[in-house]
Formats: sequence, C-alpha cells, structure tokens
Amino acid sequence: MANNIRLLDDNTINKIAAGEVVERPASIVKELVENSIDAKSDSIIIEIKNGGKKYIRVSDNGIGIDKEDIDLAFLRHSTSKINKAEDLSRVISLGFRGEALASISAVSQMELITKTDDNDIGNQVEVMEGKIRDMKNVGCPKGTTIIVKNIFFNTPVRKKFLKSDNAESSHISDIVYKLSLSYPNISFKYIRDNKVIIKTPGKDNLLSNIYSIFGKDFTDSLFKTNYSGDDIKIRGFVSKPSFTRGNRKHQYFFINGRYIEDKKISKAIEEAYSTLIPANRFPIAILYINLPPNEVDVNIHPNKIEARFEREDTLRKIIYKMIKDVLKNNNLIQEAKLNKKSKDRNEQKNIINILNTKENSKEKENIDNKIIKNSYKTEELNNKTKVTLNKIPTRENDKEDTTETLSKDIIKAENKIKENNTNYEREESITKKLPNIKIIGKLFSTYLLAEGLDNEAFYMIDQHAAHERIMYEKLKKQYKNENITIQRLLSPEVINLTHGEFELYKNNFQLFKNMGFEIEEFGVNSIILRGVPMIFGKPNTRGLFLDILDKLHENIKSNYEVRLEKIMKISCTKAIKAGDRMETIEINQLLEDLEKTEKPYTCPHGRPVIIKMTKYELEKKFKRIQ
Amino acid sequence: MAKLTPMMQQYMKIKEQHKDSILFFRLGDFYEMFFDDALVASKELEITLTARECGLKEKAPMCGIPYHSSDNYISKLVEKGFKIAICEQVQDPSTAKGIVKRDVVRIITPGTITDMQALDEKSNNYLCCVYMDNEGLGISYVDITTGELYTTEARGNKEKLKRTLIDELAKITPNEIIVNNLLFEETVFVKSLKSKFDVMINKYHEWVFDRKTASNRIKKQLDVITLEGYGISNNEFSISSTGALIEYLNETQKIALKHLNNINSYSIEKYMVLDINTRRNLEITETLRGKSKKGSLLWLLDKTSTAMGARLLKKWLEEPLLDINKINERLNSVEYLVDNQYILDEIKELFKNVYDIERLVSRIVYGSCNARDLISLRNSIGVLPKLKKILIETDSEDLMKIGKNIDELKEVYDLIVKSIIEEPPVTIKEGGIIKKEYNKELKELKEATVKGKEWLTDLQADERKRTGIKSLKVGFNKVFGYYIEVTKSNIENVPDNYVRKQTLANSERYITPELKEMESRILGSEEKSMDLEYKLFVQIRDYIRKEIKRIQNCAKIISKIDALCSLSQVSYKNNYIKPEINNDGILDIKNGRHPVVEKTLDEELFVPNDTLLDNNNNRLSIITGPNMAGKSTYMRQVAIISLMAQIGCFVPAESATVGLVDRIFTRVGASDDLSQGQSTFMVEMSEVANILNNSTKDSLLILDEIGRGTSTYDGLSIAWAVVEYISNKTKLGAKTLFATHYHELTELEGKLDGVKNYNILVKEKGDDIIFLRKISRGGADKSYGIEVARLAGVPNPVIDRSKEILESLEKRETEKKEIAMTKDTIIKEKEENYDKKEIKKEKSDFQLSFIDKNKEEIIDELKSLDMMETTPLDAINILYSLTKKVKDH
Repeated sequence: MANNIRLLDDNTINKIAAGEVVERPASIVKELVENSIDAKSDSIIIEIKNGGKKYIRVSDNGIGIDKEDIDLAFLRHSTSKINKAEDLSRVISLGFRGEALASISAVSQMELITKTDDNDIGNQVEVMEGKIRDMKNVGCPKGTTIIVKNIFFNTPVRKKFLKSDNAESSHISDIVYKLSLSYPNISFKYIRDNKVIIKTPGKDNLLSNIYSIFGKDFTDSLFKTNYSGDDIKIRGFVSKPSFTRGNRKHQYFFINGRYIEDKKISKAIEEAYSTLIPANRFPIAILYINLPPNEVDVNIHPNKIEARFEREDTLRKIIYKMIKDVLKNNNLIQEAKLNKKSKDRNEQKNIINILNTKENSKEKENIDNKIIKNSYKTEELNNKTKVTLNKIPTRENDKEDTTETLSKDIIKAENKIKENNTNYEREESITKKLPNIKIIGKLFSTYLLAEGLDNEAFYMIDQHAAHERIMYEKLKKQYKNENITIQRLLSPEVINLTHGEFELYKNNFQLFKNMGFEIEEFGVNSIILRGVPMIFGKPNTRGLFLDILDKLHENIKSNYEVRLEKIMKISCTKAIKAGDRMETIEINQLLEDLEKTEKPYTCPHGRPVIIKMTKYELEKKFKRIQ
Repeated sequence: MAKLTPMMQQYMKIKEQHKDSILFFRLGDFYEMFFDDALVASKELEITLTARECGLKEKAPMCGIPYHSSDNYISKLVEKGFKIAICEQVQDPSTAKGIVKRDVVRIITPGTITDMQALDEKSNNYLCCVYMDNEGLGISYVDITTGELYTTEARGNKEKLKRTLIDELAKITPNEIIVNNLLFEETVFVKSLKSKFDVMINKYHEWVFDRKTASNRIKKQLDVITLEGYGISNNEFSISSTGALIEYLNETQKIALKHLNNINSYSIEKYMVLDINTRRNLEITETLRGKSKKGSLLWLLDKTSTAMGARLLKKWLEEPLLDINKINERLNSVEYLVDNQYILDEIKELFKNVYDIERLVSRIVYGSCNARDLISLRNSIGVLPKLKKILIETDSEDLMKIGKNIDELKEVYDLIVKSIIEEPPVTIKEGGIIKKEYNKELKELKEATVKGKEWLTDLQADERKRTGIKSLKVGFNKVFGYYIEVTKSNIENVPDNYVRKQTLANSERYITPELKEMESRILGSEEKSMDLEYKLFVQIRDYIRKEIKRIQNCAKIISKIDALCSLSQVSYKNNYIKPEINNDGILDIKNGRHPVVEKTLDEELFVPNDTLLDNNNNRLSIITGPNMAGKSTYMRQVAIISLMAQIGCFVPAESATVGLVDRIFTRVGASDDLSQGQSTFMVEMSEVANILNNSTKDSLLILDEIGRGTSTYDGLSIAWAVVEYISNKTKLGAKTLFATHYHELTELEGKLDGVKNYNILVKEKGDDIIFLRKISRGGADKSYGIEVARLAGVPNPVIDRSKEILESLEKRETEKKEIAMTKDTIIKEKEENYDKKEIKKEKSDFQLSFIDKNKEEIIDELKSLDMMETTPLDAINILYSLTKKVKDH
C-alpha cells in the first residue's frame, strides 16, 4: 500500500494553475472533505467551532494514509491522485493539485489521525507551520481524521480579515451544502458548535438527500427532471414556478460530481421559466450533469468552481428544452416525491397550491389597490397623532361626545401638530421641486400625462416609479425618526430557513427590528414573524422577508447603510403597479406626495419617474419648427 | 374526667380507622392534623406547631395547611414514606345540624400519588402487590395515573421464587409494595427488598388474597362474569395478587377507577430476564455511579416527543423481547422510518400537539380535569386522522397495520370542538368554558347578558336626551352594581325617579327601579349561565369518561409510534444498522461500537471491534489485556448491542447478526454491596452462584475478573473451574465473554471446546503504553499493571519499587514452576471427578503456564540494548533473532 503519494515533476507543477488554497475556514473544509471523498469514504463528519476559526474537524472512514506516506502528505504538490500532466485531462478525483494539506498546515495547528484497514495501529501526527512535530502510534478506527485549530495564528494580518463567526460558518455551511448535494452516496454529518445541523442518509437517493439538507418546504416545491442522450446525462430537480428565490444561491450544478458555477446554464434555466416567474426572481435548480471527462476542463479557476466544456451550446439547449418540457407538462409530470404512495396526496396538495396561488394573485391586486389608499390614510393619521402618541390614547379624537373631556394636553398637542404642519408647508413652498403641472390624462393605465402650467412643456409620469419613490422615502424617514408603525399580523407566520439564511437573519436582526419587523427566533433555524412595517400595507410577508434575506446575501461585504437601502428598495416593489387604475383623487394625492420627496425624479432603483418633453421638442417632431 | 369536644370525638373515631396514616382533617379552608400526626407533620413539613382546645386538660397539638395548596405538602410527606388519609366534609355545612359529617375520601400512598407535579412524567409510578406461598408467586402492578395493570406468576421452590421476585422488581421498580402475610413474615428477605429497591413494603389483609374473593373482586372491577378473556383464569397466584391490588385501590381511592379496565397478563419467559446487577452494570436506565439518566442507554435512545412515548420506550428497554417476529416487526418499522426521514419528521411534527393522554384520562376518571385538559385532549386526538393517513400510506406493512387500527375518536373530538371554548380558564365553576352555540339555554342566557348591557348603553343615550345632561353616564362597581352618574353641576336636572345612592366629590350616583331590574336580570343570567356551564361541563366529562377505553387505545398507538420514531431518529443520526435476528445463537458483530461511550467521547475516536460468539466453536472468549485497555467497554458493548437488537432498535455496528439471548448476566467488579455487610468476595461469589445456577445455554454471560477478590491461587482456581463449567456443553454452554488477568487461562484454548482467546492490543513505548483498543485473536502475556498505575498518578517511588519487586518475582518464576506443577495435578484430579472421559483425551499436554529458560535470556538481551545506538537495520536484525529464538523453542 505504500507509495501512494508521489512528488510531481516540475513540468506538472507549472501546468497546474494553482492559487492560494486557504482563503478562509470554508476553503479548508472544502479541501479536507474533498480529500475524504477521494479516500473512498462513505461517511464523513465535519465539525466546526467558532465559525471554523478555532476548530475544524473532518473525520472519514476512508482508506487512511500509510505511515510511510504521512511525511510526504505535507509536502507541497504531493498527491496520490495524479502522476503526470497528461493525467490532468482525465481527472476524476476532486483534489489533484497536491496542495491542500501543505497549505493548510502552513497556517494552522494541525493534527492528523489515520489508520489503514490492514494495520491494527493508527498514527497520530501533530503539524505546526507545515512541519511534523510529533508522530506516535494510537488506537483509532479506520480512516482519517484531521483537526485544524487556530487558523492563521501565524499570519495575524490574514486573521484580521476573517469575518464574524456567523459569517464564516455560513460560508462553511454553503460548502457543506454543495458537497453533500454532490455526493448523495456519502453520509455527511455536519456539526456546528456541538449541534448537529445536517445529517444526510448517504443512500444515493437524490431527493431524500436534498430533503435532509434543505427540509420539507424546499423539497415539496421541486419537480423532477431527466435527460439522457448519447453521452450527456442529466438528472435533477427544478422548482415549481410558484417557489422562486431572490437570487441564484439555490442553483446547484454538478458536472461529473463536481460543483461548478456557470452563468450560461443559469441563463438557460431562467429562459425556460421566462414568462412563468416575475423578473428578478430565480428558480431553484439542482442538476447533476454527466459528460465525458475529456470534454470538461475543470482547471481554469484555482477554486475549481468554474469549468469549461466543449459543446457548451448543445448542453444549454438540452437544459433549456428539458426544463421547458417539465414545466409545460406540469400536470402530467410526476411530482418529486419521497414515497411512492403519497402521490395522490401530493397531487392534491399541488392542485390546492395552484388554486391558492390564483386566489392569492387576485387578492393581491385588490390589496395593492387598497394599499395605496391605506398608506395615504395612515400617513394622515400618523401626522395627526404622532406627537401625542406617547401621552394620550389615539382613539376617539373625532368622536363628538368625548371632545368635551379633551384634556389640555391634547389641545397643546394639536397646536403642536398645527405648528408642525405649517412648518412643513412653509418648507415646501420654498423648495418646490416639481414643476407646476396639470394632469391631463392617463396613458396605458401606467403613465400620467401632464401639461406644464407655464405652457412650455409636456410631462409623462410613471405611476409605479413615483409611488415607489414615495414609499421609499417615507420608510427611510420613519426609520430615521425611529417611529415606524408596526402592523401586527393577526396570525403570526412561522418561516423555516436554511442554516445559512438563519445566520444571515441573526446577523441582521437589529436591522430588521429597526425597520419595523417584529421577529423572534422560533426553534432551530426557524423564526416567527409577528409584525411587519405598516408601510408595506399587507404584503406577502413571508415572501418579502425571504426576498430581503436573499438580497442581503448577495452582497455580504457591503456596509450597513448600503444594506439598509437595499432592503428599503425591495420593500417598494409593493407599490402601485403599472396598469393599476387610479382615480383622479388618488392621482392628485400621488403628485402631492411626490412633491414632498427629496428626489422625486427617479425611483429608488434609478429609473426615471418623470420625463419632460418641451414644447419646442414636440414642435420639432411635428416639423412645425425646423 | 374531662370529655373530648364533639368535633374531637369525631376526629378520634376516624383516626381510629386510619392508624397507619397521617389524617388530614378538613376544617373549613384548612386540613388540620392533631396529636402525634401534628408532631410528625410539623417537623417533616417545617410548619408551625400550635395547639387547640380539645376538651381535655391539655390542649391538643395541632398543625394545618390550606386546602388549596395541599398537593405540595401531600407529595412531600408521601415521598418521605407516609400514608396520607384525606378527610373531607361530606355534607354541606349550611344544611348540617350540629357537627358536619366528615369522612375519609382518599388515602394517598407512594404508589397512588396522582399529583402530576410530584411525578416524573417520563416514568411510570407503579404500585405493586405480591402474593407468595410455598408453591408459587403472583406479582401484579398498576400505574393509576395511566390505568395500566400488569400481572405475572411463577411456580417453584422458595429460593427460586425469591430470585424471580427480585428480578421482576428490578424491572418494575415500584414505589410501593403490598404483600401477603406469609411473605411479610420472611423478615430478612423483606428487609433486603426494602433496602435494595428503596421502597415502602406493607402487608395487606390476608383475606383479600383468597383466590375466590380476589377473583370476584377482579370480575367486579372489569365488569365481567368470567376471566377467560384475560388469560388469567387458571393463574391462581396472579389472581390473588391482582384481586388484592384492586381491593387496595378500592380502599384507598374510594372511587370507581374506570380507567383500570384491562389486565395485561404476561409470562416471565416472554421477555429477556435481566437481573438487578445486570441492569445496573449495563446502565440501562440510569448510570452506575450517579444514578442519573444522563449517560444511560435510555438517555441516548429517548428522543420521544410525548411523555407516553417516553414511558413506553423505558418499558421496552426494561423488557427486551424474545419473540423473533415481534422484534422484526419493530425493526422493520424502524427501518422504514430511518429510510424515510420525511415521514419521520411529519410524524414528529404531529406529535408536538400531543399531550400526555394517559394521564389526562386518569384526571377525567378522578374528576379532577378542567376545561383546559379537555382542550389538550382535543388537540391530542386531533392528530389521529392525519397520523392514520400517514401510516396507511407508508410502504411498511407493520406501520400500515398500526395505522389501520387507529380509531379517530371523531365524536369525542367533535364534542369538545363544539362545546369547549378555545382558551378556557383553569376554574370550572366560574363560567367562560362552554361555547354558547353548544346549548340553546346557555345561548339565551348569554344573549340576555349581552342585550342587557346593550340596553344599558342605550339607556345612557336615552337618559342624556331626556334629561339634557350631556355628561351623564352609566357605570358599574361591585358594591352598588349599575348606577347612573351625574356631575354636581347638573344635579338640578336630575329627574324625580332617580334614587340617590352615593355622593362623590364631583358627582352623585343614582339608581332607578328599571335599572335595578335590568341589573338583577343581567347578574342573574350570569350566575345561571355559570351554573349551567358547569353542569354542561360535567356532562361532557362524563360522556368522555364512557369512551375511556377507546382513548386509551389511541394513547397506546401514539406511544408506540413515538417510541419507534425515537429509535429511528437515534439510529439514523448515529449511523446504526439493522441487525439480522436469528434463533441459532450466532452473535456476529462487525465493527461494533459502544453506543453511549461513543457518544461521550469527544475528540478521541471510538475504535470499533468485531465479536463472534456462537453455539459451537466460539462459545467462550477469554479476553486478556491490561487494565484500562477497554475490556469492560468491549464486553458491555456486546451485551448492549444484543439488548438493543432485542428491543427492536438498530445497533451501532457495520453489520450485525444477533442470535436471541434469553438472559444477559453480568458480573462486573464495581457493585460492592458493603451496605449489606457482605465482603467484596462474598458478593462476587454469590453473583457467580446466581449466574451459574440460573443461566441457560441461550444466555449471554459477561464475566469480568472472576476470582479477583481472594488470593491469587484461590482466584485462579475458581476462575479456571468456572470457565470449564460454562464451556462444557453438557453443563451450561452459555455464550460468554470472560475477561481476566490470569494469563494462565489462555492455555485453555484448544483444550476446552469452544474456548477462544482474545486480547486487547497495546503497544509499549519505553515506559509508556499505548492503548490501541482493538480486540485481536490470541492471549496477552502481560497486564501492564505498573504502567497503568503510573498513568493513574501513583507516586514514582511506589512505581519504581513495584518494578523492582516485579523483577524479583519474575526471577523466582522458575522456582514457582514446581508449585505450579503440583497445582496442576490437583486440578487434574478434580477434573477427573468432574468428567472422566473429557480429561483422558487431553491428559498429556496439560500445562499451567508458559515458562521458559529462553525468556530470561531474551529479557536480558533486551535489557542490554541501547536503543539510541541502534540503527533501524540493527533493530530489525535483533528482532529477527529474538523471534527466531522464541519460535524455535
């Protein structure tokens, strides 16, 4: 069994596009687990503490390392997986650059315990900064365990760049998701701070594997999809159009078992969904693609995340068609199901779901209309009562028979309000931003047409963009003044999250709270939503919350302020839609409110709210003037 | 002579009938205790002792507790081993002439507590009744909080019966035992039971054990004319103990215990027998040292969602099965749930809504349940239709079968939904618990109240208009009821029909006749509706009481599914595998692990080991190796894997074939019973005796260091003889793991049928030893006691000295050879007496220990080596020559 590990020749070393292996704890986990996979393990335990910064343990039951090979394992470019450069073109194993152990041990305190099947005695090795300190015999089960402690203890600068425990463990969770998804035949156990987060069955059943990682809601939303051609085979799952996410985080592609990211495949999938789901929404997809190994080049990126393949267009077309078919044959298609007999049940559920979504969408329209009115009303109310809120109950202000008993306080308060209002008005009149206009009509139930009172220009206003801007600024103002009105939900909503999402939520808890979300933790990886900011009217609370989470995830590096803006922008998508009919009175209110905003010219996402066409331009178009 | 007051006379009369109990005598809102009871209770409960005039010269000592917080005090006293008789006023004081009638309504004993706060919800609280005479033994036990009643019986001589009783009690762990006179007179035995199980034991009237009386008592309880259907009609001992048990409950509880409606009769042979030592040694439900659940097998396996499930799982652990079909039923269900996590999660989700139905039922029987309990019941049985559906739709035959048997209890569910409001108060007499739609009369009463209140607000508006007083308002307070309030400035406008009731600083309050009329109507209907609600509630409760049997059946199914889910969840999470069960006695475990030790090891990785035992060549394994190497863990691991398999759980191994075992015996060093005045060696030997006398060829024996409690040669001889006896198929032939430091015993492999040597590998490295924790074929030659002593922190001078002594002892080995040879002949002689044929066969090559001149030479050679100066090649060469020497011998 000796001589599994060899030094590569220089030529080979140069051919390998190596980069830094250890970027953060997550990359260590990735390398170690890939080693375990390559060692033919069928059970891998990943344990981390403090986001992996203090402690990472990966234990497997694989073939183990021979005593003679241990020294070699810590040399750079030593690997048991390839011999020569030519081997690179038919790489089947995951790690092959021979860098992992060397790089990791260089920046951490490492301990390795390993035993092969044909030895009674295992070996334990301590490695510090890449050098083997102490090797001794030890009783241990077959396989290899590597413990990595105190990452970057000898490179304080890099240590500083590590994120919070939660952020790092969320990176690790991501890696574990990907690895456990790509190896349904291996049982993964993921323990974080002494809690078992994931345990996959390892029985080569794709769906129960997904279930064990992402849970029930997620799995229930999937359609099964398959393709089998000459040398291309695809199996996997895509989500029902009703279950989409705000980013591409839940699109997982595995080419010959290796996780890759590929924009073109994503694109192909999204095209297949194009009319079925709203813009900026992304379907879930977990696809296992098998190609002949010689058509794939996995070595173009040091993190081995991207790959190049021949016949890329063919593949894209296949995927597009495969998914299109699944979605087209929606009702004929077999549900993704975990259990044969539950078919009927699932189908029933499905129908109910469809009905529900239909109803929901109708309701939504109604609600949207109402929101416009509601939100105006509440603002009025707010203005009136804001000042007095703390002192007296808000009710009965306008009931006649109680006015008699109005205390002096109230009178005072009302005076204040008046003052406030006059201040406000004065301010307005000074900084008039919008031109003086008169609405003359509506176009496509989307654009308001207006004529400048100075008779010099013609204006078009996008009602949706305008309302977005209004809501956005209102929310921002409330947020700054810390008096967001909270709408309590009649029936609180429980939302189950993945571990990563949960971490994200925890990191941003204060943010949500400040925005007027009333949220509490509710068991392992789930939260309960008790209230939402009033400004949203009655939005689809669950969807809104998930959207915000997804958006937060996209740019984890951005600072607090930017994130806040992002959330607020999302919240505005609940504004009046293009195509909603508006009454004159509403239009006037809209314009009035728009007038009060700081930046009435664009919507929060940057699109224009109002377009001006001067009389001159118009006349030019009609060739009245040359 | 002074005479007792009438009340004290009444007290004395009642006390006379309950001499063995502390009498809680109800006086108004208090339970009072007098005389000696007061002295005892005040001390135990740390309450003030006072005194009361009783008509005698001296005042009677007295203490008391308020009735509404009595539960706590009662539990405290019962826990301390007292019986409490609750004496209530059984007559309405307002209608009583003279002294109100009082009577004892219930006697509370450790076995009959129903206070849920005082009980562990995850274990049963058993009251046990034992009947024993010269021919047989009847054991019956009941948990009155759940209504489960079990009985079994055994026949044989007295010693055997006592043994059986101890084994059964070890399983039942009752909190109170009542026995017949004959048994009670065995004072030594009873005393040992008391101390062994820390339990209250009392004798009970002889006549209730009479078979005829007992049989009638049972029939009356079950409301049947024959006991045929319960499988005990011919079990006279069971009948005696069960009848007496029911009579005892009758006498103490004084109500009809409707939930005791079945008798589960079992034969002791149906379950694996585990004696008390084995239960303790294997740490099945509690740990050996701390007696805590944490760290026990139960702690590991219990992931149940309901208290009922937890109790059942505990019972399963205490009663491993012997029926291969039943075991496979459970294993198959577990397998299905392990493979279908989806289903498992779904069921667990459902069970979140399930309360302790069994104990709810007993509260319904006792009439102590409130509306909240009914809501809990509704929530619990509300999951049944869904559970049924889930189970029926599985692919598992066994689960489907269970599913089909689920009774959805629709009427009960609907009744509660229809009648009880969603969040009722705790009290049942103050209304607010019944939905008004449930009853027409109630609805009218409630509407009358509402209408009345509307009328009052209308009145305010009308009167304002009529009188022109804008600030007039209708209010309410508890003293005056409804009133009309007018501010002082408007007094001149008050009409004539107003009657002034109260004057305040700024206003006057008035009433009118019509206001008062409406008030009495409102208040009256409120009172009426409260009464009506209570009446309706009692009706509903009584209706449900009639359905108790069905509810209990559902509870049983839920507990079973819950227990199965728990086993599945643990099996999945910890990578256990399904064992293959056989009747051929083959125990073949590949890479087995100790489930609890594996869990508690943190970074140290548990080393799995193989086990092979069967009825032929691998009956007895002699395991040698140093202390601390893991012999005990290994042996317990084998026993626990067998046990887990037989309760229907997956086992921690890579693969496992488990032959059914009828009993597991363990003799492990730790349980020295010094409290009973027995020496370590005496305890050890009586346990060995028990094992040899009671095990069969189908038993699994775990023997750790037999004979260590006496001198070396005594011990060795006993150990040797025990191995011979056990391994002899005609004598015992039980599957055995035998750990020992007598390396001489390793000579027995090849000489005795079915004996194989194993050792736990260690590696020496200088003065250190490395434990490899791996079991391997062959015997060990050394126990490394000194090295282990060093690891344990024994001071260096002692270590060094013991090394010297060891060396000198080893030098005398040769001299000892003669002694050994003498002993040899003795053993041979004995053997011949034992079994002549067997000995003849192997006479020639009998040798006690391996002593060799070479050995000294080799040791000397090793001593002279300087490792620092030796090259690897030289080392190999030396090793080669050494091995050659040894082999050539």
